[in-house]
Amino acid sequence: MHRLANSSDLLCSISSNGDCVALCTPDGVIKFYDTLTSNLKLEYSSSTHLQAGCSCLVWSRLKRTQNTVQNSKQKKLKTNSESTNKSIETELNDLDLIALGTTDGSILIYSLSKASLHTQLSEGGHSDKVNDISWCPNYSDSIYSCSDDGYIVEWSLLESKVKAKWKASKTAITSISIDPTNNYLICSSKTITVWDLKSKTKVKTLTGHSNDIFKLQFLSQKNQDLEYFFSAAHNDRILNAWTLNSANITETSNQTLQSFTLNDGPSFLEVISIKKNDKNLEALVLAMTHKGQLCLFKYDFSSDEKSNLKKPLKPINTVKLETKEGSPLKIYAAFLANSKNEKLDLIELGNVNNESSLVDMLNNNYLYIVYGSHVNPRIEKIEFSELNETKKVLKRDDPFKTSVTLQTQATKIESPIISKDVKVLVPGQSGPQTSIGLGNQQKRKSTEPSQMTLEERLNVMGLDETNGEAYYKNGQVPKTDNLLVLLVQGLQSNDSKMLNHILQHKNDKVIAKTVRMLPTNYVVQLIKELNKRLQGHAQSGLGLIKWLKSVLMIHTSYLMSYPDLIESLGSVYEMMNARTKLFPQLSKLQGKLQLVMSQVTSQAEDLPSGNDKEPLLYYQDSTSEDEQIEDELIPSHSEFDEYVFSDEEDEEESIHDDDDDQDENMADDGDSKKILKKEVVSFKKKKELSKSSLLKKNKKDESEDDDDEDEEDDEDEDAAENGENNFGMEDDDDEDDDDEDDE
Amino acid sequence: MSSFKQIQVLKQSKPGQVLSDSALYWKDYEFPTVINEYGGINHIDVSEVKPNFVVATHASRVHIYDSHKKTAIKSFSFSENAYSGSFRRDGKLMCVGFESNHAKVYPIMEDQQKDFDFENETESTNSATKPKKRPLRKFDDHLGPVHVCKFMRNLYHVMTCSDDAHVRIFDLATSNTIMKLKAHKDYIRSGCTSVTSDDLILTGSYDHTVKMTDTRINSVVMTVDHGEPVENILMFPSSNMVVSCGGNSIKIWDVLKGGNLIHTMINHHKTVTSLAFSHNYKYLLSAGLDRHIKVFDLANYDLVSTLDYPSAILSLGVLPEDKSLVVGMSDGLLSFKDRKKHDTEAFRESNRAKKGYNPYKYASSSVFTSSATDHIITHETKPHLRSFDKQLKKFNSTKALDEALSLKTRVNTPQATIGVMQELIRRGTIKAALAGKSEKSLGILIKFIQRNISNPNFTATLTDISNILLDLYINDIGKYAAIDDLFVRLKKTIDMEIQYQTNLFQIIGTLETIFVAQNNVTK
Repeated sequence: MHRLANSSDLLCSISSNGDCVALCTPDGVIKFYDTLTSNLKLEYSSSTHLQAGCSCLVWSRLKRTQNTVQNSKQKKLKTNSESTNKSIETELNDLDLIALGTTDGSILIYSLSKASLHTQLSEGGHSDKVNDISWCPNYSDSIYSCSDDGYIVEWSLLESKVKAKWKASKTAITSISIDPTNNYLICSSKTITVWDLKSKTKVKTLTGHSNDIFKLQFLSQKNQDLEYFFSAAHNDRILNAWTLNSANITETSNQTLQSFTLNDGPSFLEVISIKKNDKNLEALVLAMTHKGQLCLFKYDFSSDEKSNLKKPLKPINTVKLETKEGSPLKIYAAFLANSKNEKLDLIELGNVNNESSLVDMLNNNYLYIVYGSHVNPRIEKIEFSELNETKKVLKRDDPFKTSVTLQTQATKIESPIISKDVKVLVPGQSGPQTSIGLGNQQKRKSTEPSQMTLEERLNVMGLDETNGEAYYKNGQVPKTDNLLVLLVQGLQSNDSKMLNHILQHKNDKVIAKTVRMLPTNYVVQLIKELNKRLQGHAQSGLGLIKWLKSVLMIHTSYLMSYPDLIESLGSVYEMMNARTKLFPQLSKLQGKLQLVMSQVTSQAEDLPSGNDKEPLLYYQDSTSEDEQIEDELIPSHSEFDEYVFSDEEDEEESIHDDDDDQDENMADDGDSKKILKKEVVSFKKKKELSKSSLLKKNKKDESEDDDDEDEEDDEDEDAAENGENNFGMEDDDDEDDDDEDDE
Repeated sequence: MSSFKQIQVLKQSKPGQVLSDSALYWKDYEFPTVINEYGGINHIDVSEVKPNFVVATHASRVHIYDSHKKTAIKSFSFSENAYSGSFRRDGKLMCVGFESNHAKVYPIMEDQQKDFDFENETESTNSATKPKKRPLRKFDDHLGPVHVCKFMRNLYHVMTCSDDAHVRIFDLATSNTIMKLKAHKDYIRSGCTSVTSDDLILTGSYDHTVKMTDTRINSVVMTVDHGEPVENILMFPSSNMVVSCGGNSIKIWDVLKGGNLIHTMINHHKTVTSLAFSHNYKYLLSAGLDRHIKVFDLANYDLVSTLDYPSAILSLGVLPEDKSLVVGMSDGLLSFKDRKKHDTEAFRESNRAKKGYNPYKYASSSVFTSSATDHIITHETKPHLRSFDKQLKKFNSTKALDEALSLKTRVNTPQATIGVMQELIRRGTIKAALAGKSEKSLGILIKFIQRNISNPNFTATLTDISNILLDLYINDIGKYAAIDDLFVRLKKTIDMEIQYQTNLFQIIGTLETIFVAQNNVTK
C-alpha cells in the first residue's frame, strides 16, 4: 500500500539531548518536531532537495549543558589546543547542529538554533551517495563521512573543507562510527573494518553479517581497555555485539561477543549502557524491526564466558503498536530518557538486586517512541511500568485516520436537551429525534469502539474458541498451531514429544472436536499411539481414556469397515483384558481400605481434644518411676523421629545416643530428672514433627519420585545402623520359623 | 548335590514397539558436539579421502572442519553470500558458488598445491609470507546467483547451476564453458553428479521438475515432476535410481523405466531440506525444517529411526562408515554426532595392557594339557546368590523380605521383590514375614505396593499382600500419622485404578461391539 511504501523510506533521528526529533519526508523536506508536544518546530528544505534527496541525518553528539553557557567571545582559534577544543565545543554547542548527507555526495550542516544552513561540505568530497556521518566524540571540529564511492572523508567543520580522504573499500561503505577514545574508526559494508585514525591504516577486519550493515554504534562506556560496539544489517535477523581492545588492537577477538535474534530485519538500533555498582557493565539494546516492532535486549558484559557456543539472545521485552482495529502501526525510532526528559546513553544504578527485572530497574526512566505518518508523526512517552508484560501490545488511534475523526467531531449536531417531562405535541419532526432521552444517547456511546467490552475485544483478537467457526467463514486464516494440525503433524513424523503434549489435553470438547476432524487414515495410528501410553499409571491413563473413547465413538463406521481391525486393535483389547482381570479383588481391597480409613478419619477428628491432655498424663507417668514403660517408649520415639526427619540425621543420632545412655543410667541408678527432661523434649519434638511431617508429606506428593527415593536411601542407611534394635523382636520370629521348617 | 534354587526374576515384557537392529544402529551415537556460526548453514559436504574434512557453507563464509577435532582448520570469508561449497573427489580442491553470478575453485591444503598443474598460480601464493586464500579459477558466465557447484567424476570439469535456470559445465584447465543448457524454467537449487559416469548430471529446480542430462549429447534424457519445488536430489551410484525431496515428501524414481515413481515417503511434517546416503547406500537420511532427521531402510523404504535436533535443519552430511553425522541448522548451529566407540577386541586388549593383566595367571588349562587317561574334576564355582536369596536359603523370611525391599532391588527390579513375596507365599511364611514390622520398613512396604499395584503383572500378588497387611496391622492404623498417610495414598491409587478399570470395561464393551459388527459386515 501507499502508506507502507512511504513509511519505510522515512529517515528519523533524535537529537542528543532528546528534545527534538528530525524527520526527512519523502519529498526531501526536513522537519523538526518537539518531543514533548509532538508539535512541528521548524521545517527546512535545501535548495537542491529535488535533485539530491537526503540520505542520512545525524545530530551532533554534543550535549547541551545548561550551566556552562559561556559567552563565545573568543571565536578565533588559539594556539592552545585545549582552549581551542573548548571554544569549538561551546560554539558548536550553541549552534545545535545536524548533518544531512545527500544522494549527490555533499553534506549539509544545519543549525537548529540559527534556523539556517550553517555550512555545506562538498568540495573534494564524495562523488556518490553519502551513507553515514559520524561526529567526533571529543568535541573537535572533525566529522567523518562514508559513501557509496568507497571513500572515507574527514572534514573540518570550521574551515568547511576536507582534512583527509582515503579509499577504504572497493564497494560501498554503508556505515561508520568513531570509538569513544577517538583513536579508531570502524566502517562497514558486509564486513566491518577497523581503521587506526592516526595512521589511517586498516588494522582489523571482522565478519558477522550476511548483508549490508546499516548501523554501527559504540557503547558510551568502556570496560577498562575493552570497548564494545553493536552492528545491525539490513534483512539480517541478528544483531551482533563486538569488542574492540583499544589498548592492544591486535588482541581484538574476531568473533562476535554475542548475537541477538529478531523476528524480522532491523531498521533502527539504539544502545544504552547500564552501570551497576561502578563495576557491572550492561547494555540495553533497543532495536526496531521492519514490521515496526520494538525489541528490548539486555546483555551483561561481566558475565561473558569465552565460549563459542552461546545461543543468540532473545528479546526480554517487545513492544508493538496496533490500531484499535488490530492493524499494526510502525514505530520508527525510540530512545530512553530520564525524568527530566533528557536523552540517556548511560544509566547508573546504585545497589540494585540482580534479580529485579528490567522494568523495575528503569522505573524512573521513560521510553519515547516515534510513530505515525510523516505528515503527522506522534511522539509518545511511555512509562516502563507500562511494559510489565514481555510482549506488550499498545492500542493507539490510527494516525492515518485522525483527520477523519476530527471532522466527525466538528460536524456533530448539538441537540437541545429536553427533559422527560416535556411532551412533543407535534407529530412531525420538529426537533431532532435524538432528544427523546438522554439515557439512550449514553448507551449508544458505550458501543463506540473506544469503549468496547472485554468480550468484544476478545472477539476482535480471535481468542474465543467458540467463535472459531465464525472466523473461518469470515475468510480469516486459521491458526497454524491448532491442535488438529499438531496432532496430524505429530502422527506423520511420529514425534513422541509432540504427541505427549497433545494427548495431555483433557477438555472433552476440545478432544471431541479434534478427533472429529482427524483424517481417517490417521485413526488406527492414533489408537496405537494411545495403546502405547495406556499401560502406565491410572492417573495418566484417565486422560487418555477420553481420547480413546472419543476416537471409538466418532470413527465407529470407519473402524467397522477397516479390514485388519482385529490384528491392529487386538493388542489394545488384550491389554485391557489383562489389566481388568483382577477387578474383583481390587474392589474388595478398596472396600477394606475404605472401612479402615473411615475409622482413621473419625479418630483424627477426635484427636485435637485429646491432644492437650496427653502430655500432662505422660509427664505423670514418667515420674512414677515406671522404667519399663519408658524403656519401651523411648526407642519408639526415636524411631519415629528418624522416620519423619531423615534429613536431620545428626540430631537424631544424638537423641539415639542419649537413649542408649538412658538405658545405662537406668541400669545403674535412675537419674529420673534427667530422663524426664529428655522425655519432655522428645515429646515436644514429636508434636512439632507430626505437624511438619504432614506438611512434608504434602510436598512429597508433588515432588518427583527421584527425590522420594533419595530420602528413602537415607532411611535405609539408618535402618542398617539401627538394625539390631529394630529387628530384635523379629529375629525371634525367624527362629521360630526355622524350627517349624526343620520339623 | 542339588544347589539352592534361586528366585527366578522374570523379565518384564514391555509392550510397544520392538527396536530393530537398524534402529539400534542409528541410536548408537554419542552426545553431539555443537559449534555456533552466525548464519544458517545451507550446505555441508564431506570429503571422501582421509582425514575426512567437512566443509560447511553459511552466509558469506565457508569453513573447513576437521571431523575428529571438531575445529575449523580453515575459513574463507567473502564479501557476498556463498553457496554449495563442495570438495573434489580427491579432496584437494573445493568449489564454491556465489551470489554475484560466479563460482570459484580453491585449493584445500597449501602444501599440496605443488601437486597441481597450475604452477603459476601457486607460486604467487606461496611467495607471500601469509599466504592469501586466492582462488585458482573463477567461472563467471552465469547470469544469476550460482546455488549449485559440484565437481564431475573426471576431476577436471565443474558443474554449476544458477538461478538463471541454466546448467553449465566448466573446464578446470581453461575455465571455459564446455556445455551450456537451459534445462529448467525456474531457479535450479539442487544438483548432483554421477559417481560412476563422467557424463551424467542431475538437476532439481523450483519448477517442480528433476532432470537428468547427458553431457555428451547436451540434452535432457529424463524428466520427472516432483509436484513441489525440489530442495535436494541424490543419485544412486548405479545411476539408475534417483531420490528427490521437496515440500514434505521424498520420492524415489526409476531411471531405467523412464522416470517411473517407485515410492513416496511422507514422514516429515515440514519441508524436507536435505538428503544423504549412509555407508554402502544401505540407508537414506532426510532432514527437514521440522527438526527431525529420518532414516529410511533402502531395502523396503521403511522408516527406521528418527533423530531430534534443537532447531530447523538445513543441511546434512554423513561421514564414511557412518562414523559421524554432521548437521547444519538454521540458527547457525553445526552439530557433529559421533558413533559410540565399542569394546572391540583390540580395545579390550589395550585396556588389559593398561591394568597389568597377566595372561598366565589363569592359563593353567592352556599351559597344562591333560592326557586321555586323566580323570578331570572341574572346579565347581559357587553360584552368586543375591542378598535376599541368601536369607531365603537360611529361612530368614523377614530378613529376606527386607532385603528384597532394599532401595536398589525395589527400584531397579521390582519383579525380583514380587518374586520373593511369591516365594514367601508359597512357603506359607508370608504372614510371619509381614508381622512385627518397624514403622519405617512398613512405610517402605506400603509405598512399594502403592507404586506397583497398578502394574497388571504385580496386581495379584500385591492385592494379597495388602490384604494380609490390613489384617495384621488393623489395630495399629491411626496411631502413626506417617503410616496413615501412606494408607490414604494407597487408597487413592486404588480408587483411581478402579475408576480407570471401570472406564476400560466400557471401552472393552465398545471394542467388542465393533469386532462383532465387523465380523457381520465381512461375512
